[in-house]
Amino acid sequence: MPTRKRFAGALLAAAVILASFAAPVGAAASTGGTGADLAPMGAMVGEFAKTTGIFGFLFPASGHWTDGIGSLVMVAVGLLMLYLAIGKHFEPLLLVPMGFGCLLANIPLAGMTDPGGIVYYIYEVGIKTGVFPLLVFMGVGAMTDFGPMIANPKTALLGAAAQFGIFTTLIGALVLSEVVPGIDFDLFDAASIGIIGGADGPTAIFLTSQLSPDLLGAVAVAAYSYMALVPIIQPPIARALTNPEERKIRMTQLRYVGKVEKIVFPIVVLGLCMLLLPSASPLIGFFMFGNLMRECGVVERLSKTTQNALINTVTIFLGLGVGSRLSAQNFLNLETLGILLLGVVAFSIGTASGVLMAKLMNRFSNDPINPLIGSAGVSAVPMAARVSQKLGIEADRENMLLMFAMGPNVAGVIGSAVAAGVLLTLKNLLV
Amino acid sequence: MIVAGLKLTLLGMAVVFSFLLLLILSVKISQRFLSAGSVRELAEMEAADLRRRRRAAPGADDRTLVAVISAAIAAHRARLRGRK
Repeated sequence: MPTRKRFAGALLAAAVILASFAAPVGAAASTGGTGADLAPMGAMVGEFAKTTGIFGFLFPASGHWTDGIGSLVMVAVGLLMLYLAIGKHFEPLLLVPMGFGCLLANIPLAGMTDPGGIVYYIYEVGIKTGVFPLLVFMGVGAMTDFGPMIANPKTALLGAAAQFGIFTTLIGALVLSEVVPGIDFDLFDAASIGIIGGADGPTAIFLTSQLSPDLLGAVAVAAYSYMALVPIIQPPIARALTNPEERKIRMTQLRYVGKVEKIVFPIVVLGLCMLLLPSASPLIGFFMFGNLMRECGVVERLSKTTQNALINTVTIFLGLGVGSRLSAQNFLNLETLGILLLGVVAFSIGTASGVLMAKLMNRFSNDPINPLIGSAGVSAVPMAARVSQKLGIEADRENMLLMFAMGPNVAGVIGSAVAAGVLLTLKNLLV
Repeated sequence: MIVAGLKLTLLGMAVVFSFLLLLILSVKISQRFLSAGSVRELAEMEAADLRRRRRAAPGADDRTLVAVISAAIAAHRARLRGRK
């Protein structure tokens, strides 16, 4: 067989090459060797074995075997995130880079998250500084149509009410750290956990990177996982708080909102931010800048870049950077469990308060409001609005709520940015 | 600590509500000045739409359709004849 002969030949050649490598090594060892020479073959293989990942997992540099196992568990967490993203389509745009970032960060001895490592720089440059979440927020602004909110401005109150989830979760985090022994959240940590209830990824990452960077991995994982789970978390709550009659309420047709109104809107919002809450201006400012580019109609190229190429590029690095914070030390503890638990509480309370606010407004307003659009107040654009639409159709096949739900939905984004602005002032409020 | 959380909640919700209430107010004020423009814009759009529809005369589409269908039938018959 010619292939077998060729294979044997290749083996022989490899052996000759190996021997020629081994000979000078032995020679160098016998002459005593200098710093530039290699150790004897046996020692060399031994040293090389110490640089392998298997050795790194079994005998971690810190000396505690639990760290090695921890890294292995984190690799499993990274793989789970990739599975959820690829197999279950859970926020894949973020979870794919984040899961992979988690894998990269937990490769033993590679030092990718240490100074000098690539992921370290991505984190330091883009996330610690807050640059990446803000650029993503600009892209979100360029993709947002405020028309439905401008047409029916009072639905913005639903977006305000839903932020109640943020603050009750903040209190919940503090209670948890008082009650449960292994959990110790300070006020900054509690604020970062609360913002999960804002259901807005960039805002949550921005605030956490500023207030308690150690929790960044867990908060981002919770925020994005629950955002993907909005269609499962919200419907039972919205159904439980409304009766079939309320779910059938039809709302009055939205008026047409002209170009000038849409151009003026971002400038008005920025003006309010300028006067009332400068601490929220990084978030609101970039959000509104993106929106102005979209609406002004003269910088279509910039607007298109912002909502496509730029946001995509930044999302890749944002995901990698956040994933790099998923180390065993930061993630494998009781606090992460607490954060995951509080995250779902945050979403649920936000949903409930939005629905209840809509019911309250119905008491005082002549214009009927379908309480189902209240649940869209917890940002999570546009998933939460779609949930309202779906529930509306369930009650009345011809009742299209999507456009009405977009009002509180986009107001919720502004609401959570404002809440983040208040929480950012925490540093000044402490005595 | 929990008291601090309660205080923060009060302040936070008050700020969020007042911010969005002021936003609603400003939108309503700007609507007062600008909604006339929006109405005009909508009317212009509808007029342009109507003009476009009129330009494409109502019968034209049908006539094209008839021509296309008869051509297709003719081709089909020709093919059938060819097979025989």
